[in-house]
Amino acid sequence: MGGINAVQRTSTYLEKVEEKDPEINSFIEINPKAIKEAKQVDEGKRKGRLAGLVVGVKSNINVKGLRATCASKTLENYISPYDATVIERVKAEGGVIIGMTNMDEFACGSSGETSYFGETNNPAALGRIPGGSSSGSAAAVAAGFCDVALGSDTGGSIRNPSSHCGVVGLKPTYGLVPRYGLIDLAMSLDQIGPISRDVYTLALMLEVIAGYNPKEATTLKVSKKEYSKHLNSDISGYKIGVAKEFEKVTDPRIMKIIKKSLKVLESRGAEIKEIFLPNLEKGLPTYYLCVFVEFFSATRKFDGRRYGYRIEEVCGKEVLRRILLGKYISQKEYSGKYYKRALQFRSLIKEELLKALEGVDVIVGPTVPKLPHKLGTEIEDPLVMYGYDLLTVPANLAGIPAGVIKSGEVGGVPVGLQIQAKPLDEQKILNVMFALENS
Amino acid sequence: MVEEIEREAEKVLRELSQVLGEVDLEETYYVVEEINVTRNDENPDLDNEFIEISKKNAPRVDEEGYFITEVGRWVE
Amino acid sequence: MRTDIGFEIHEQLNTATKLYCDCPTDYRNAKPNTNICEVCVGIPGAKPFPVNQVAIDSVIEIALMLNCEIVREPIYIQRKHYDYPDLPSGYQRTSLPIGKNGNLLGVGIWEVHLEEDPGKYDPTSGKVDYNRSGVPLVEIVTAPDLHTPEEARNFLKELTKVLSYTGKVRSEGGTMRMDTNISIEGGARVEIKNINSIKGAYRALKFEITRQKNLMKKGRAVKRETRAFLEAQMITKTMRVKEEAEDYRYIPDPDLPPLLISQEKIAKIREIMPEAPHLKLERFMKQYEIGRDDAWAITSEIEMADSFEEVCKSMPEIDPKYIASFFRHLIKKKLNYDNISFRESGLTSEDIKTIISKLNSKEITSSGAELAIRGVIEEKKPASVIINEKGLTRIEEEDVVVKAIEEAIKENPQAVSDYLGGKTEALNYIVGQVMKKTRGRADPAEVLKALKARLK
Repeated sequence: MGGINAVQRTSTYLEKVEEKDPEINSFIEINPKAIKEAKQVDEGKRKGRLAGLVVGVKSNINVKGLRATCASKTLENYISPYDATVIERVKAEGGVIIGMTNMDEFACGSSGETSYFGETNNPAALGRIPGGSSSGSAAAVAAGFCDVALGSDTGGSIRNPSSHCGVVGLKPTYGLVPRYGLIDLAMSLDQIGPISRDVYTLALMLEVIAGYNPKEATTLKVSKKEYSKHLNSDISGYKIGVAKEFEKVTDPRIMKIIKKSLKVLESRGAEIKEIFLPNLEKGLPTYYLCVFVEFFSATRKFDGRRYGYRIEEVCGKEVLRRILLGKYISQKEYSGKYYKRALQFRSLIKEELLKALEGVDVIVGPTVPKLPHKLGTEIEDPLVMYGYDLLTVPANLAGIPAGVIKSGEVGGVPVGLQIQAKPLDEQKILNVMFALENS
Repeated sequence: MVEEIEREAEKVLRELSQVLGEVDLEETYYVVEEINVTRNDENPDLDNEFIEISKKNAPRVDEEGYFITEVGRWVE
Repeated sequence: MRTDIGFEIHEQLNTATKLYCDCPTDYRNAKPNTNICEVCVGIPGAKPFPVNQVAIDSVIEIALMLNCEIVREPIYIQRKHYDYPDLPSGYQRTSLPIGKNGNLLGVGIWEVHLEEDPGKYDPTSGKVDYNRSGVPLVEIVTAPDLHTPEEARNFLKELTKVLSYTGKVRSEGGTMRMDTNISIEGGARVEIKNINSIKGAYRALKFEITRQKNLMKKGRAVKRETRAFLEAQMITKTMRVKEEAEDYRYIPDPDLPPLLISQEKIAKIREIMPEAPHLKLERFMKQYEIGRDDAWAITSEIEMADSFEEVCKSMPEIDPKYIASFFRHLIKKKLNYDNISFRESGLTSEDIKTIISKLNSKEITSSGAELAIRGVIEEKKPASVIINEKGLTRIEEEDVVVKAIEEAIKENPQAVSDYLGGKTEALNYIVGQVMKKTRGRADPAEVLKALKARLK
């Protein structure tokens, strides 16, 4: 990013946020030191691969001195006393943090409507939901309020809003990016990942945040990769798996767009192969039963004694629902019926996906089976809301990487293409995205 | 709200379980199958700035630095 | 009436850092809530660091010392959920058993676990200090094989000794905490929490047995419940009854992969672990032909037992019985008097050898030896230096002793006349006066002989 004036870049973004974010509501808090940090870049005091890039951070990631509210009253006044590992890495590479983005409360949602700080609008399709739960991160990128944003993805929370907002997003392999400093939704599924407007920046941010963290027990001991350097739009010879089951569950208008992109990939030398995912629909209940139990556990610390408020006393309906369901099904007498069973199905889904990936380089399909609803639409049945996640949760259950790039539009509403790959095959996902970006 | 959620909960669980059915497989607790991830017992370390911010976040803390919480039910 | 008592005992492990973070474990001089970080106070987003290896190894060693089998399957670290002010994350991380099916003094050891210490909560004021939160603990669960408070006390004392033998628990003392369960024939099982010492356990059990027996006498049922021990009042009080029994909703901590203990690891620890105190006691009695009381005193601390063996080995010319008696009557007595441990005393085997050798060659008297021990402990100088500086060498010159005897007789006419009047014990008093005058350097036996002759 040599030659770019970081202060100028940051102030331009800040002005734009001030002017336009009241309509979008993508930020919860702006970093008062953003300009100061940008100045340090211009003075050469802060250098690195992200020098001068302006970064939005989801409000469930700790940035020392800023509030990590999780968009909940529970943590309304909680000031992070430490930096998440990914934030240390972003700062070390010269990234300028512009602020904390809006989200579904505690990442419990797929619409961006459940924030204590109000819903987020979709900059790419105003009046519709931006998707969630990294609603603010995707919306801020789509609205041009920052260069790149960090989100978190437990069952689609990066990919779903990236799809609805027409930007690029990636959920890395479980364990590739440190979770240290990410406020949990479900520990065994959560991953932090980047959201951007272009594949190069996405790759750049991924390589900065990825890599082993010795102070964490679940990161992978893999060597650092330079994804941005190895971006290659030549995907001839790539075997692309497509499952019939996708079509069965997806809005035909969406499938039509996805098929067009598949044609493009074919035209660039990729080979389309049919794969079978007969248990695709079992992913959703498996996912939610796991999330309820892990989320219940994760929220026990929000007792209002050391910071914030007692969660059950102040949280929104969906958060409370998940806590109560988790509390109920993790009782000794029911754990065999629900949690253990879900973990058994997790094995099934993981095996099925990994097996399907054996014969192909990537699996390509839709991201969200439905188009985003209009803001203000009352969705009473939680299961209908959960349905948005049908196609994104399998990647989390299997721990594999998955990326999303805009495939096209249905009546002006963006539709994202999802690309899934084997563990640690992020480069292939990025290359397929790069090929589509350059078509 | 709690009662309403509890009413709906049964339906949510019933429908989720219905889709699942039964399967006879080992449970997957961890995606990353590691064992014995341990660290050496060395270099104790403290961050004073952390301690300062933590006190500011505390709803009730006394001048000595104790967090003040509820009194035990059984000693009342 | 048959009474069965079991324990869950927690003791802090002797590590430099906490179990899941790099905070120091020595928080004793720290101000409240200053020995903390995001991990050990459950700050949002913090994850446990990888498990402290020394803590794991310590638990394996303790389990082996208690004759446990070491579990060879994956050992998950579980989250045990409950809501309590001292528990910063709303759950405590506790391992599945690392050791199983052990025993100590005939008491079954059901399970040995690795746990993290919660913070410190004062239920009276509501104050919480998280400085100790996250310090590694060993948890030992016994079978209900004890039957009286006295038996329980003896068992706990022996257990403390075993733990201190390993050197793997904190040596400051006062860190042991336990819950006990007690069932008296005809009543339900009652659990008592909040016990912080062996004395506390004894008192809690005494109180509880009386309480339960009184209820039974009145024909009332003993309910199944959990009670708290209130140390200041020495009573137990209901915390919760069975209907409110907690469901801990255990799940394996998704942030921590399981442990798997290898045969090699067990062999390695077995190789370096110390002999258990009761085995050492038996061996000492046999090998050195010393009495049980001597052996008991010497093996009360591993450092003292080691020193005894070293002294015996390097002084083959001296009867181990003599050395044992020296340890018990001169050293242990002084340690008991000062209420310090052998380790704290700073006495070395070198000091002890010096004193015994001088005693043996009659260069010093037994009173001189006592003064030398005192000098070493109090002034932290080697025995040889103390003996020189204090002039503790036995007086050879007869005239000095004779002079002291004459003076003592002159200064204590009452004692002299008492003795001459038939009160033989009055002579001991005069001997004492002579010893004082010679600052312990005279041989008391010689003085006694000379006095007897002089006053004939």
